[in-house]
Amino acid sequence: MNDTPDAPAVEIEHLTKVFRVPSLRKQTVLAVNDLSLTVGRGEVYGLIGPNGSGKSTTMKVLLGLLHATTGKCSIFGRDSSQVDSRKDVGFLPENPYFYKHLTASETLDFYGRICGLTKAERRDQSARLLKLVDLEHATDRRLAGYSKGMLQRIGLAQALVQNPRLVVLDEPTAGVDPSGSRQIRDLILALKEQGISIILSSHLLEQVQEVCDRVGIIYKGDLVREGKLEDLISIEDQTEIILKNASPALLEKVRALAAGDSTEVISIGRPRTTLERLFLEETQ
Amino acid sequence: MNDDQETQAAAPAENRTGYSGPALATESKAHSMFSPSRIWALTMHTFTQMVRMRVFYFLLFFSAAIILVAFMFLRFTPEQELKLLKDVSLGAMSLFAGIFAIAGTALLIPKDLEDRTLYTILCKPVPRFEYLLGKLLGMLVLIFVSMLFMDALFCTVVGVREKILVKETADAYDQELAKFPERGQNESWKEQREEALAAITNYGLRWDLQAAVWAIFLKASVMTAVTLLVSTFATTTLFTIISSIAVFIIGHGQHLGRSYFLSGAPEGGFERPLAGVIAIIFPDFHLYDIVDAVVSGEAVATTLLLQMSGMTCLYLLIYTAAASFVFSNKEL
Amino acid sequence: MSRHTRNLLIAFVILISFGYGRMYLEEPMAKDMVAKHYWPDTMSMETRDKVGQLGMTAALGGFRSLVASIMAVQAFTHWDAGRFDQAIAQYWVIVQLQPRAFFNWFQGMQYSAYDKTHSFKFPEDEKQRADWVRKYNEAVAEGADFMLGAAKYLPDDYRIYGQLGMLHAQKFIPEDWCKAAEYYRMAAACPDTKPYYHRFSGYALAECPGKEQEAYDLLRATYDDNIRFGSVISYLNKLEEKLNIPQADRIPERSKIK
Ligand SMILES: Nc1ncnc2c1ncn2[C@@H]1O[C@H](COP(=O)(O)OP(=O)(O)OP(=O)(O)O)[C@@H](O)[C@H]1O
Ligand SMILES: [Mg+2]
Repeated sequence: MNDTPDAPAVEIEHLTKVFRVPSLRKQTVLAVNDLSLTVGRGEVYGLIGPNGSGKSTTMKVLLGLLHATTGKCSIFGRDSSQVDSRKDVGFLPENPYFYKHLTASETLDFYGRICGLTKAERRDQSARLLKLVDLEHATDRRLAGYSKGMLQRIGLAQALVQNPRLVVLDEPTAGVDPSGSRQIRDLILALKEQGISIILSSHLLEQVQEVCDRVGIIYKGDLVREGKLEDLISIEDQTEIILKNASPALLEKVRALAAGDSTEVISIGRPRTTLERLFLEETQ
Repeated sequence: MNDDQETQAAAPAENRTGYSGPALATESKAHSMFSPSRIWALTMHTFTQMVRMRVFYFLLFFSAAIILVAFMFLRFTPEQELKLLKDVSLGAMSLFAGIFAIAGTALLIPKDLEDRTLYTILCKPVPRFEYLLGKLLGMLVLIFVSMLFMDALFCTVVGVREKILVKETADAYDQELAKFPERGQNESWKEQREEALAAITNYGLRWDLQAAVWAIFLKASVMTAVTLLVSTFATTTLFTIISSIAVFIIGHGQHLGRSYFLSGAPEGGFERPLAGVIAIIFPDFHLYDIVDAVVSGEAVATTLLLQMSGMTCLYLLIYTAAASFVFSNKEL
Repeated sequence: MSRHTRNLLIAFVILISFGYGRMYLEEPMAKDMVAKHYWPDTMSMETRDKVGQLGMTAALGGFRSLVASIMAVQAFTHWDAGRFDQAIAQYWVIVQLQPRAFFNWFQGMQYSAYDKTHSFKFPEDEKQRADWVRKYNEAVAEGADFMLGAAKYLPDDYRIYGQLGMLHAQKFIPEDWCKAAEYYRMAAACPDTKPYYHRFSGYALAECPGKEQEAYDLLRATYDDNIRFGSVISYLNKLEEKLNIPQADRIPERSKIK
């Protein structure tokens, strides 16, 4: 159960989660079905899937908030059901609400306290993280008056309060405007640079595409595809040609060349977000 | 110690600037399963939360009520007036402590669950029983502080009222003396005067009142633990509140069931087993009912207070243990 | 069985064992508390009916004293409006709620033996006198009943016997000096009593036929203890006359009071 140097940041083995729905007939919901995945150290892993596919459920089991029906999860080699596995994890829940009665700095102070930080450390971390998430101007305002984007950012700061080695982000950019989500994306990249492992979920593919080393596509509880971003995006038997300032004449030449080589031109045009295509393909 | 090496391997010291921040003392420490400082953080957090929910505004009602009763014009005997004041004040204290204990506690966990703030706490290295303990202690601190306030006001008002009554009574006797100077020679008249004044002071501010206040606090503590226990398995706040109130009421009659069960009433029939079940399930709140005795002027023995406090600790311990068993593997 | 279900069972077992075990701690504690008068005996059915549903719940919830106080305020309102019977009826319930509070009994007695009796208009017509006396004495007797009730719960309280003495010496028509003397004697025998009850019993004995010698002995001892109030002296003067005490043994003072 101890931290082992070579254990991956996250290891999920054959996780199945069945919810019992309180009703007269004993109904059940299969939220996650035999899911296995590994997130290496320093890796950024994206879990993508449509609404209700089981992303949040997977993350909650990973954090010990829910119990696996079967299978197990571990963080740096420690079983998720043990409290000490959470020592090195920061979590940002989806649509986070924090204690409305606290100010931003009180919030960070509180989370720092329960992580066992000393007073000086809490003060330093609070100042540093509030700067990091760009909330210095709102330090002494109660969270009751925060906007959604601000809440998301204080949530991120809270997740980082004890300098965790793994950060779990459930839809970090949901409901955040484009510039806000760019800020969050930059932050994720910066964390990655520091060697922090990250697992995040999203159904907004653009961001996942930009920051993730590997993604898993989850649909109705099944991990339907997984792999390195380049591998998933590149379609073995297709090549995309991207040209700048191509004249119609050049395009004709290319078409002609292709036709002569028993190749078929499927389309020539602006490339679509390839991950999105993949995503639709897998989930339709 | 593996921990430490690992951290450094993942993020070399020179990289520890900017985003990842400085090394923290906790990173090298082994995780402790029980940390008083963590519990205290949760306690004070709960307390602050309740305070910022403006619960102390309720105390204004209390203040208004007892001041009103204290200076209401009633042509009662002085003892009756003081008794009424004490009854109303201690009754209001019981009521407020009870309301805080039930309503406040019942809201705590569901609110955390609804706002998902529970996730943000439990995903930190906080054992669930510490979370519960923090909530319990936070409520106890809240009740204690509000009772401290009520007690201070109560004592002041009783003290002032007593002084006024003593003065009024003495004045009345003095006026009588002015009218009938020969009564100054009458020993039994003089004794009656002393007796009347002594009756008022006997009925005024006395240490035994603090015993009653303490008993009220203890009862509210047990009620807090009961409500916390119920809220760990209840699915709605309303259910928690209603069942806690039911426990509160039945708990006051529990002793009837217990004596009946232990009295060795004839076996057979369902009454005795039923009485036994009631005695086993419900706490005995009647044990804390010394307010009446104190108001009627009975002295309270220290041993009783010690027994009562000991019993309360036992209740808190067992109920919190049960609550953390229920809560420890609960799906959130 | 899921872990949660298992833990629920464990919690259940803990609670049941605790519930069973604590009975044997709480029952002796409760018995002790009853013995030490922290609680009155359980309420009679009749009281329960009179207190009413709501009051009953409140009384069970530890607000017995408060219920009593509220009823006292109601009684006060009745009294204020001259409805003495209602006020007195309220007090019979109040004393059931808090039987060890002397002043509840006292207040009931006052309403009955003093306030109610004062409200009876003395009839001009001779023929109605007997009826008036009967009603008057009934009210005083009800007041005495309050005190006798109190004596069951507070057998050592001198105030009860003192008040009973006073009722018999001053309120009943005609006075019953012999009973009054007996009650004053009981009052004087109580712990923390007031010294005047001893003298009072002497005064009452002096009026009780056949007890003159006893009265004389008592008052003479009081006198010899250097307690020489006007009443002591005037009663001794009278008794010395009646009992033909030799001049040499008589006290030197002569009372001006007749
Ligand atoms: N507590 C619960 N009780 C019953 N069913 C649940 C519970 N939580 C989740 N589910 C069900 O499990 C499935 C997966 O839910 P989950 O929240 O993990 O999806 P998600 O991928 O996070 O969706 P979204 O993108 O909307 O956040 C859904 O069908 C949901 O209805
Ligand atoms: Mg989700």
